[in-house]
Amino acid sequence: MTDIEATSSEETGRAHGGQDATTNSQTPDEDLPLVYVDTVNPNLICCICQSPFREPLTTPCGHTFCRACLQRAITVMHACPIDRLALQLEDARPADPIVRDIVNELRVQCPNYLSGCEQVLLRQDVGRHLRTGCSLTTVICPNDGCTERGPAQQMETHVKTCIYRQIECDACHAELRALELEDHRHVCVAGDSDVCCPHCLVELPLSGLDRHLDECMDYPLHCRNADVGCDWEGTRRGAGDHLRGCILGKVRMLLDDQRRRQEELEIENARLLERVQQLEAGMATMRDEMLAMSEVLPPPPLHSMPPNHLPPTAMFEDGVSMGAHLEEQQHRLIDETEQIRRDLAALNASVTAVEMKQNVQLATETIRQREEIQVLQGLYQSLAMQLRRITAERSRAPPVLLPRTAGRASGANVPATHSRTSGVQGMQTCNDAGVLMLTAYMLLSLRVAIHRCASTRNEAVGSPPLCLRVHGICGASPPVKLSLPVNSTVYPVIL
Amino acid sequence: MAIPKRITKEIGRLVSEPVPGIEAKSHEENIRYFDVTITGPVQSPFEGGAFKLELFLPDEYPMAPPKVRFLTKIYHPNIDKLGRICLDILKDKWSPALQIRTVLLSIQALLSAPNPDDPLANDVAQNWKEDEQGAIAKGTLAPWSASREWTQLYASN
Ligand SMILES: [Zn+2]
Ligand SMILES: [Zn+2]
Ligand SMILES: [Zn+2]
Ligand SMILES: [Zn+2]
Ligand SMILES: [Zn+2]
Ligand SMILES: [Zn+2]
Ligand SMILES: [Zn+2]
Repeated sequence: MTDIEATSSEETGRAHGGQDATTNSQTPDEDLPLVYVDTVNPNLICCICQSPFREPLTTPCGHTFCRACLQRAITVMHACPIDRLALQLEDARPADPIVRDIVNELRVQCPNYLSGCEQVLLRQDVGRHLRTGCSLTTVICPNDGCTERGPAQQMETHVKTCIYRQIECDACHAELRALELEDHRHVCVAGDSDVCCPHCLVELPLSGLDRHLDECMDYPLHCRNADVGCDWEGTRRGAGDHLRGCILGKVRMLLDDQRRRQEELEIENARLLERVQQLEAGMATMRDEMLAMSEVLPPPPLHSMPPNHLPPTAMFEDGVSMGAHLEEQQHRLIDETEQIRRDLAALNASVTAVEMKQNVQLATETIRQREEIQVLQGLYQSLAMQLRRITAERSRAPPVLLPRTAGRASGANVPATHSRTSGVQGMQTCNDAGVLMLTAYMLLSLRVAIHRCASTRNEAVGSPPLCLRVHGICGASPPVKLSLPVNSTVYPVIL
Repeated sequence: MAIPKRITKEIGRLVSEPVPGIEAKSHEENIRYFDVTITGPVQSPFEGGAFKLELFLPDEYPMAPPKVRFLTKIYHPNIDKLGRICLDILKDKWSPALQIRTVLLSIQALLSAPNPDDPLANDVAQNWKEDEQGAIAKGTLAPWSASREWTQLYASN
């Protein structure tokens, strides 16, 4: 780009003729690859760059150089490069206009000839060609913020539509970039700019556009029933007429009705399903209860089972009658359960009665047995005393083993025994040996009987206790009739 | 660094319009480096010799002079034993208007007309002066024995 600028500035300088060369920009000749088509007169060749003069300057000593070449040479030698005469750049003047015209009108190839531009043009036209005419120059959009780049020709049209181009708000005349115009319209200090409704083409202030679009009769609309299949399209103007006749409007009402009903049914269905689950759970509980009862009680009467009893899964087979069926089933189950409860209560009562009866019997029996034992004990004591007395009377002189045994048997434990007197004196009349034998035998039996009685006291009423048979053996009268002293303590008897 | 158009132009001209007695060829791999051969000028002690030089164009060229050095040993008052040349245009008298061609012509001229008053090799200059004076005294054209000897020794094929 700089090359192009340089070329153009040179061109400008020439066009104005005689403009002070020192104010022009300078570019080393080598940097712009110009190819001259024709052989150039050697007198037009700069001896420093060996190319045709660019912006030629002539020194007071009459030598001519490119402006850039002379500038560089003077910085290293402060003299004319040809004759070495002292020289300052300011001393040099632009070369004769004829020389400048001749070099500017030399024919050159477009600098893009290597890329394919075959144009041959005057050297002074190179700048313009590159800027606007050459199809191969890549240029960058000059607008701030835009990164668009492309061939110069294409760029010319781009710049006209570039969103970064500088424009002016036609209402407030503010400078802004094209892309900002839309937003600016809403905040423009000059107020509403008139816009055109894109549908009815009426002109109106921008602020009213939104409201207008809501009622613009030319606003494009679809039929309200488009979702159920109406493909009518038109403007708001025709929408009313269409809706009055739209067949799909009636269909929509039907469909809406249908949909509402369907929703209700779905809710109902969910509720019923919940109820069924509750009932199933209830049934399972009841079944468990019944099973438990049947183990305790005799089998329930068969008539209490529902005649058409179904397993829970079978109830779902017919969805329509399901509700009614379940209702019925439930009532039956509740009745059944009530019946079972009543039966159970009755059974409980009877069981309790039986138990009580048994307890009373048991208690009575126990008391009776206890009394019997006491009688037997009394009898035993009197017999033991009788036996002791007989033994004492029989052997006044030679003592037998008995006292030692008796002492060991009653000892300190039964000191009172001797002091007690028995009322049964009739036994003295018995034959000595016979009485002794009989007494010993009775004592043994009694002891066994007392022991048995004590061990069977708490047994349920069954066969008569052993002691009764003992009574039978000894031939004694029933114990209650015996006038024996009451002694609650049972002593061990050692024979 | 791009090669300035001037250099390519000079090379082209050296080929298309060669200077008699001077041959300069730039290296292919470095266009700024030249192999130069200068034939000894006639009626000089260097006649019959072919002197090899190297020439290099620095980046600043043509604002700075080229660097030139003799590679062939030469017995010359303005050229030292390392081949360095005492020539004003290669130093402070350089001008961007000068070219490779003009530089080499100047060196050729230096072989024809040594300048013992501005010597680079003092001993050579001294000998040269005596020799020259001797030759003039003898009325014969300078034999410049040493230079001639060296030319035959080093610069002949
Ligand atoms: Zn001059
Ligand atoms: Zn120039
Ligand atoms: Zn072009
Ligand atoms: Zn742009
Ligand atoms: Zn505005
Ligand atoms: Zn409208
Ligand atoms: Zn419709």
